[in-house]
Amino acid sequence: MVGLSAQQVLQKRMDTTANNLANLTTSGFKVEHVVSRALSEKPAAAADSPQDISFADAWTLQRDFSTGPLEQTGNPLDFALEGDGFFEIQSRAGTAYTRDGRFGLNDKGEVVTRNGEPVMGEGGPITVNPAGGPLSVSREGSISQDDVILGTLKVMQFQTPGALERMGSNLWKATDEQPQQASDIRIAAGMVEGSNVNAVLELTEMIDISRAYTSVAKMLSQSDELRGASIEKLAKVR
Amino acid sequence: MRALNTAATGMQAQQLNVEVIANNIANMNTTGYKRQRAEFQDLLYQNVERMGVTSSDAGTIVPTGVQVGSGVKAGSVYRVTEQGGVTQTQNPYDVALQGDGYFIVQLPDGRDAYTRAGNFSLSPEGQIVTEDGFVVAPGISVPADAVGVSINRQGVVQAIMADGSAPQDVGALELARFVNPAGLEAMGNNSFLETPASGAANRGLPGAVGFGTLQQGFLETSNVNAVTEISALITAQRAYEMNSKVITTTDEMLRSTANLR
Repeated sequence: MVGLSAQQVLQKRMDTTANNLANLTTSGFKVEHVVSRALSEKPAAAADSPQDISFADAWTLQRDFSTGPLEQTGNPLDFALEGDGFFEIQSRAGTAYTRDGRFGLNDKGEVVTRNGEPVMGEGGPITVNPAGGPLSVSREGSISQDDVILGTLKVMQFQTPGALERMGSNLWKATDEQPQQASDIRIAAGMVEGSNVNAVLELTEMIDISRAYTSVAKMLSQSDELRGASIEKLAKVR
Repeated sequence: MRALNTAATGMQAQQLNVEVIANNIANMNTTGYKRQRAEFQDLLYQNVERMGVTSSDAGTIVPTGVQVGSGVKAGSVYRVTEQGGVTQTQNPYDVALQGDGYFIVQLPDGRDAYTRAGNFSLSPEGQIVTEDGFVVAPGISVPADAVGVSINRQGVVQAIMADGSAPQDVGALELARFVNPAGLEAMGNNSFLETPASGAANRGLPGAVGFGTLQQGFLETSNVNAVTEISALITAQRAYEMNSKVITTTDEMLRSTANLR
């Protein structure tokens, strides 16, 4: 049973590593790893064995929020956050946060994500005049057109970003903590933040998982053999 | 195990990535071609242990929980409408567009198509047409006895007459702008069609506010950068390999389970 619990944790670790590697080229993706812990159980009868039996249990995720590499895209409405924080998105499932700053305009001139969900400015969604001139973006995230500031991108910050819930589509949802206005806003326009997955680390992690898994399997088959052998011996004693 | 499917989504995504890069490289010398980028998003997550649930009677909560992701999907293939370079051709009917906008092409079925490729010529009837023989809006006819044309930065076409009289204004080329040019639908032959995503065409003359200007005797080259494409190709290939490695490793793990008995 202990071996089985270890294998289950290893499978979850493998699933997470596979997800990290699949998202090697996803903008704003943040790498994560499963952290396991030992779950101690008292044996049924304390007299049977003086020691507790420990099981492995997938306990929590360790998320790395370091900034990914910045990539130049040539699209003026692509933004990369160099400091901490998240862009705020009015998603179909409520307010969401993202590090993926690949935005564009919809047919009404609103700044939206690639899925068409409005990006929040400090005073609501930002709308551009379709007939106006080219856009320019400041380091602080204010978008202006023809020397008029249309709005400033809202950048929010969490004390414990690790507690955010992933929604897929590069979006995150707040759980308990309410976000604060980010203190250090540095926005690079025309750039996107790449995924912060380190392929070498993930590959070594994968080798590690697979070796551990095989050795647990070996341990299981050996303990099976041992049990078989002892039953055989006991049968001979009679 | 979920890892098998997850890695398969990763391989599919990288395959799309390579296809987009291949198309960019193939169109490196296509007039007015705009490079594309495959963009990815992570897939749904399964909550194995929810964040924020109480982990003890003392009221402590699980800070992060456990969420297992299920891979990656192609979010969009985005067209980067950055200005391409210009190259001199000396052909009087070649016009490069510098700045925002598209030439309007009248398709035979009555619809309008939009293009950045300004390699025009004259039809047998003396009209300015595209390489495919479609009329360029607003439909400018050059008199048969003209010896040359001049197209200025604002799109005004003047015919230079053989008898040495003053050049004749024969019309001005029109342009169209879109709120979201990335939302145009590519129809091949360097042309695009209007869609609900691009917004309605906003017509105007070259040089008006927001519109680009023209340059006669030049063509806009593609904005594909070979170095960027090749390095993106390397990344995509390696990412594909790593995802296939995940499949092999998962397979090994499953085999060791299957061999237990």
